[in-house]
Amino acid sequence: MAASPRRAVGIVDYRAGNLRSIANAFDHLGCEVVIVTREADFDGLTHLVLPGVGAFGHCAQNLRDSGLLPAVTRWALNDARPLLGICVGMQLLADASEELGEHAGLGWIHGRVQRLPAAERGVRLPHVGWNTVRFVAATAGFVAGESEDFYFDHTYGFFCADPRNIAAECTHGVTFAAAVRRDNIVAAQFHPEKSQDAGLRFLAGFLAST
Amino acid sequence: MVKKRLIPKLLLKRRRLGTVERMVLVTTRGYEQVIEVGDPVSQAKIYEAQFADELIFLNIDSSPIEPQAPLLDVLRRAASETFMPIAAGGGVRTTDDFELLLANGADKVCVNSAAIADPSLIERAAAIFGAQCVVVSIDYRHDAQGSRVFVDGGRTATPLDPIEWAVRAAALGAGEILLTDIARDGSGEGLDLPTIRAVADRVSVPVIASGGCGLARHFVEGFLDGHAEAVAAGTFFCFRDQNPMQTRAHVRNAGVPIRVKT
Amino acid sequence: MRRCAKCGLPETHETISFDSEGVCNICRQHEFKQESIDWAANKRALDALIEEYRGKGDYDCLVPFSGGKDSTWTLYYLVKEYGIKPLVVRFDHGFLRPNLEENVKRTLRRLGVDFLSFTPNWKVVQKLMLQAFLEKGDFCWHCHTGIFSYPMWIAIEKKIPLIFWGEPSAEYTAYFSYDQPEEVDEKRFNRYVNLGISAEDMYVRLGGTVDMRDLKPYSYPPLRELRKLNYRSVCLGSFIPWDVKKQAEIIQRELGWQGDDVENVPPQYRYEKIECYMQGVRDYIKYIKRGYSRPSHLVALDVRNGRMTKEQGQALIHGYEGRRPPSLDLFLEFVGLTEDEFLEIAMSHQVSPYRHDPARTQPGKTLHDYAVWSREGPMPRVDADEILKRWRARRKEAA
Repeated sequence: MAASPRRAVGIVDYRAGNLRSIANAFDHLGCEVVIVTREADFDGLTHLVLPGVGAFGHCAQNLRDSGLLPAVTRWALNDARPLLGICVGMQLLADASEELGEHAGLGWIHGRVQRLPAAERGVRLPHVGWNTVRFVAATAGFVAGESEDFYFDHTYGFFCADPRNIAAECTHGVTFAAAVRRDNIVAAQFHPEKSQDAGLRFLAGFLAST
Repeated sequence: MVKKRLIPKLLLKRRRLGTVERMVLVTTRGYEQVIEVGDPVSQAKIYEAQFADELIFLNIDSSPIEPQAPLLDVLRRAASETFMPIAAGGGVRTTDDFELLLANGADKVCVNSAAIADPSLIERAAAIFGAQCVVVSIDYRHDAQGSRVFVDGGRTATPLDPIEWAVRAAALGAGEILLTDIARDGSGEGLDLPTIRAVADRVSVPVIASGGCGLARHFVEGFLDGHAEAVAAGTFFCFRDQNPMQTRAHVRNAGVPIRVKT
Repeated sequence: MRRCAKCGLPETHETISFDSEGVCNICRQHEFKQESIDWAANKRALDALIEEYRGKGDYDCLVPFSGGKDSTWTLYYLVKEYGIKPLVVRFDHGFLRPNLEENVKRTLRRLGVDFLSFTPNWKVVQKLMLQAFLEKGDFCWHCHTGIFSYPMWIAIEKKIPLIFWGEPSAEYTAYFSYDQPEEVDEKRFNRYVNLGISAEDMYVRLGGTVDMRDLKPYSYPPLRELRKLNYRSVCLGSFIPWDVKKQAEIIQRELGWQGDDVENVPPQYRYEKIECYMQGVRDYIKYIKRGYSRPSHLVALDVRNGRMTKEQGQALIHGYEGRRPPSLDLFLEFVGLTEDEFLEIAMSHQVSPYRHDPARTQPGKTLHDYAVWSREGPMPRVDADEILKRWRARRKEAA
């Protein structure tokens, strides 16, 4: 069997939620996992993950305070290396979020993060549980037109300004971006590390990108 | 649309087996009788293989949540071997407890007695960790006077009505409500549909119904009649040749949207 | 009871569901297998897999083996088609029949292969049989788990990464389907092989009254150990289309493999389940729980393969299914139960909507080798009582 390429996945630790499950998932997939807390940790990485759980503003502030943002920016925008955003880690890529006040995002993928309309649409919030993700573009090993269920747990959704950034959609009252993509950057609103086999497949697909 | 969920509820207790003390998975009957059924991490893996949607781990010893707590060891091991959402609780008293559980593998934290003692705990936890991490667990009984919420593992009555308390907890920031009818716990008689529905119709957060599933049909009733988003079961899968995959197929065949594999 | 319009299997069959035409998902899986799988491509994949592992260690692969029709076919096919050097590994459940042992000797000598057999501690097996029968209405837990776990430990110990099993489970149930490759791994083990109870769970349920080491043969090895090995654990039936009748004919002709009479099964199925003298009890319990057993299963297979109509099958089923097997007498000795207790326990596991009526049970025929089946090692009643007492206490609490 051909030897698998070496994969070293860095998970940005900016005190925005539990990294352990993401680390476990990549470990299960046979990667070296590095918890990134300082710039030196970027050395030798092949992939980078931006996690995030909790309120947008809180996460955005923590990311700025961590001192890691310049290195993450270089990785993603200058060096065009593979970056995966998860949950709030995806939302942070947007221009702004209206969660608990107006907060600026990184603006790397244009769009706004807005509260999912609930009562008006007869659905409950938070959007929690397994929902069907419809891939509209080839993403992380899934082909356009493919559908699969993944686990979500959020109240705010990403609405892309440019439909070309939409990698996958999901509907909960409204249709929002379940995953977004821009070149080397891919991000998921759902939790691939919590979505059993489907999620592991998604992460393996991300790993296959170089 | 988001699918309905089937959630095995794993109750944990410290027990001495052979020469070793360890956390053991138990089921209960009316929150009193305790029956040992297995190893928590093993069962978590089995439930994952059988497509359970999430897991709830509750430490019914309610021991304090400290860094050396056995519950954390179970969570860490479960989280390293399964890739599905885990809600953990039992003895949660402070936001530090939330932090410890979330850092050790839990995705959500269940809080019960402490939220009643200090409802601001719900608001504070939701503000720090996000509402989606906060599950308010409500145990109740019906009696001649009506329905009462109980705390301390179903031992101490409060003057609270479960429906009103659920509404208040949701308003304070709970992301989900876990509702359990103590008398039906482990009974196999079916869920308390009227109360579940009353809560589900008054709150806009998901309701997880628990207590009494004995037939696959009971799950269907919980979803269709009870308006629950999820049904949690502790005893149901333990003593028979019954597994979540079969239950899911039954629920789907009844027309309820639920994730089904093959 | 609702039944499949095509094969006749009832709604109590595990994982069954019916579509809008009343045809069951297992029939549909079978159609998929016939029509939608590129078996030529799968064969090429098998060729490649064999070459990938050939010659890399002391053995080219490991073949878990019982001597029944499926494992004999698997071994025969791999040796004949590819000339590989396998290590053949058997987990001896304790109930091997004499004719089966003859078959094993004949097969091993004619093919020329190395063979390892392991027989676990009988006293532990007895406890496990009784506990599993009580818990899940299935006394074969030790066998299900041992067969799938033990060879994996050998694979690790002897550094044999490629393991070939026989038929994919998609052939009989819908825990897996033919459109995914079926890896025979821990997930599959947990999904349905171990009845939802691992060795760690069994230890707890036995109240810690066995040595955890005694449960090692029934424990699936840690994934990290298997990964170090770079293991591939696959079903031959994922690469070549499975057809038990055709396969049985071939091994009879080429290896002199002989079928045998089997309790409460029509004589035209002499290739089926010949390896275990507790098979009749197993089938009887299934009938008590689900209202059907092996004859229905065999007829369903023949119907799906176009060898019989459902109606022709009915006569066979009625003539044989649900009778009391003589082997029950041995089972009762082995687990220390009375027949009334046995019925009480089996009936406590009935699967709705089936309701068993013991008054309608007829006796089944005695097999030719019944007299030589070992009755060594009956369970002392006091030991059975201890296990029963614990179970009754838990049932009372759970009721």
